[in-house]
Amino acid sequence: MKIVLICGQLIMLQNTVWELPTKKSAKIVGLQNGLSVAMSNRLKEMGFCDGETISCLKQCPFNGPKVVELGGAILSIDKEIAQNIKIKM
Amino acid sequence: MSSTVSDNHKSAQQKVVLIGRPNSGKSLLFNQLTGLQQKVANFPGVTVELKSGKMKDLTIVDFPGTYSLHSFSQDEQVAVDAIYKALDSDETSLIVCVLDASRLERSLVFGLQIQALAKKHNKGFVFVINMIDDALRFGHEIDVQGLSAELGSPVFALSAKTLIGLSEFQQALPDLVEQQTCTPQNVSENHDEVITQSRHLAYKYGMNANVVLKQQNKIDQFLLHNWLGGIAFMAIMFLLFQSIFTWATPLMDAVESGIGILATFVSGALPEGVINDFLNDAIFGGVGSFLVFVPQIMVLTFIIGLLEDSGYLARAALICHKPLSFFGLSGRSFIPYLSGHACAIPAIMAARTIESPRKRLITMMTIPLMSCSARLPVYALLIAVFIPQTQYLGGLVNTQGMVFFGLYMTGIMTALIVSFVMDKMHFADGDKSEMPFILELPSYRLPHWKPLMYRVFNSAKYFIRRAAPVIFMVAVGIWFLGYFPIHEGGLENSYLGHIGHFIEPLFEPLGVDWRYGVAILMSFLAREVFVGTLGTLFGIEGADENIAGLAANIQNDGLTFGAGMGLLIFYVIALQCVATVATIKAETGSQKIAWGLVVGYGALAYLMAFIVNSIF
Ligand SMILES: Nc1nc2c(ncn2[C@@H]2O[C@H](COP(=O)(O)OP(=O)(O)OP(=O)(O)O)[C@@H](O)[C@H]2O)c(=O)[nH]1
Ligand SMILES: [Mg+2]
Repeated sequence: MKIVLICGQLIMLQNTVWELPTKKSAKIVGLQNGLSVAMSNRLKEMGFCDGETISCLKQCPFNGPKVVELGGAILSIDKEIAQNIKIKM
Repeated sequence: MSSTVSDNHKSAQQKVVLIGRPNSGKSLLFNQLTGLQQKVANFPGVTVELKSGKMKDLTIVDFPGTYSLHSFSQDEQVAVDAIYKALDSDETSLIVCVLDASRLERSLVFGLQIQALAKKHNKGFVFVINMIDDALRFGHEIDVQGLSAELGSPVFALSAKTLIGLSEFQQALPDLVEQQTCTPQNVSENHDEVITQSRHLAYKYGMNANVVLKQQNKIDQFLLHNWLGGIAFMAIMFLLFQSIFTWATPLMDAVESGIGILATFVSGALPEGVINDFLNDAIFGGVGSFLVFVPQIMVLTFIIGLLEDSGYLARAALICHKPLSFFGLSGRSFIPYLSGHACAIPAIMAARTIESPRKRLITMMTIPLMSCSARLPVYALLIAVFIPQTQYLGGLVNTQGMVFFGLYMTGIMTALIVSFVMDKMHFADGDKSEMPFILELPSYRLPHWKPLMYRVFNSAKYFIRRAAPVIFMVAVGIWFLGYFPIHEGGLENSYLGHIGHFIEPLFEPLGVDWRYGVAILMSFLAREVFVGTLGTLFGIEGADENIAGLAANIQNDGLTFGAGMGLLIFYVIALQCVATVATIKAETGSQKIAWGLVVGYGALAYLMAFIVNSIF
């Protein structure tokens, strides 16, 4: 977890799936607040729910999509999505 | 008496709808139930339109797969609307929700949502756990009774592939349709509750996913490796295009000599004269020269089919996502692009699975640049004329195959450049809604041979049926115009010769004479007509000799190398297919885009052919 000091305020930046290194696992702790309802519903239905274990199988070069394993399925997600899923390593 | 008639009438109207997540095997199940041959492939989003078929007096309807009832893109909304419409319709009497045994948790989330809806609309409902063969392979048996009790709906476990359990389901279907008792009981509509419940059920009844995934991950470690994966991708694409040429050559030679023998036999049996000339020139020369290319179509369909069944295509889409994004496309454009090499029409329809409307439009507009199988005869003919057959690496690579590969690449590169330009010109920027990229990677599977072979033969049948009548008519028409009024005067003095000289100036910059010009103009009806027309024309000119291969005829005729290469480029780029134009019009809803493409690509093709002809 990173802690950043902006304008004298303490803001905690949570880790997201985007920062999850290859071959590592983590627990999902929620979705970013800014997401649209449709999007967050969809992500939940695809298995990105609190408490699920997510592991990163591969990171494509040049900031390409990530390949993750989640709830018995293998999914590929791009940066926009990965940055919206908060995890606890 | 009258009541029985109306009862029969009613049951004929009764619909059984197959709903479920993408890639859960709905279409294969549909095929097994109805005996039809819907497209089945191992990646999500194969079916894009409703399709109905008959099983005895029931109507079975196959739906496009959906991940959820909360649609997310425009086209998903179309599929979701179709589900709601089916639920509202009185004709729908049973909802069959297809689940994937190896991914029970994910399938159940959607399954439970549908179940709740079915209850609300008072429809019969049943779960089918498909791919039970996969579970059994890993030694997992699903407790159907227990699961059925917890779900409150009947559950059938079966495999649409190995047919285990299928006949039980088939026998039970009429009863399920009649009974209203299978309307589910305890269902929750709360989104989070549904997710918790499906997790619980999958944990209790599903198989341990790790076993399945381990096997997948091993293969992926190689095929998705940063550079090994890239090399594998290139190698697969290279072998794909190369083998269309190399593998099909022996078969093509066989067809060609078969036609030659038949022609000699027929013309030997008939007296000399107009009829004999007609059969030789128009039928064997014109139509026959096009049949030679059927084996190539079959090889192409076979290899694309292998790739589609394997589960690799979703990986290829993933590998291509980043590079394609650079050109303003998405990784999801890969599969439509690839299938565009067989035929542009299904490929343009397949572009519906692209999330972003803008990327979808750009993909659809560039698909016609993929070298579809109708161009194969033209490529193969001109390559046989100009490129010597030399082999390297023990036949694995040969020069003709390389040029073939080069032509495919030219088409793809042109498509990418056009996409890039459209992207940079902010084409269709009104559709700003950029959708993120999520793609579920399916399990690797061995091909399903029977449907694959069926598809291969069907592609040949379709190819012949589509082009043969046009080629036949053009060949006959061209022959009459080219043979009369005085055959002895030669082609130059025929009706066709006079027309030909009139259009010659248009084709002079491309370095070809009027005979090729006629063939090019005719090929706006269908590209294969180019070969048929030339076959007929050369047949008329050399009426007294035995039919030599068309390639040899063109070679002796002295078409220049530059003109030949120019013609090849022309055919790579030009959009000469009425059916493609109609499909683009239907899918984009814009007449302007469709005909704009014909004109635009036509002009570009002409310009490129001119440049190539001037350089060489
Ligand atoms: N092993 C096994 N494979 C199956 C079975 N049923 C379907 N498949 C395979 O699963 C893949 C997907 O099948 P489809 O019938 O195209 O799936 P779908 O549900 O129609 O998919 P969409 O049209 O994308 O929604 C294909 O490769 C099938 O061969 C089965 O019972 N066992
Ligand atoms: Mg389908």
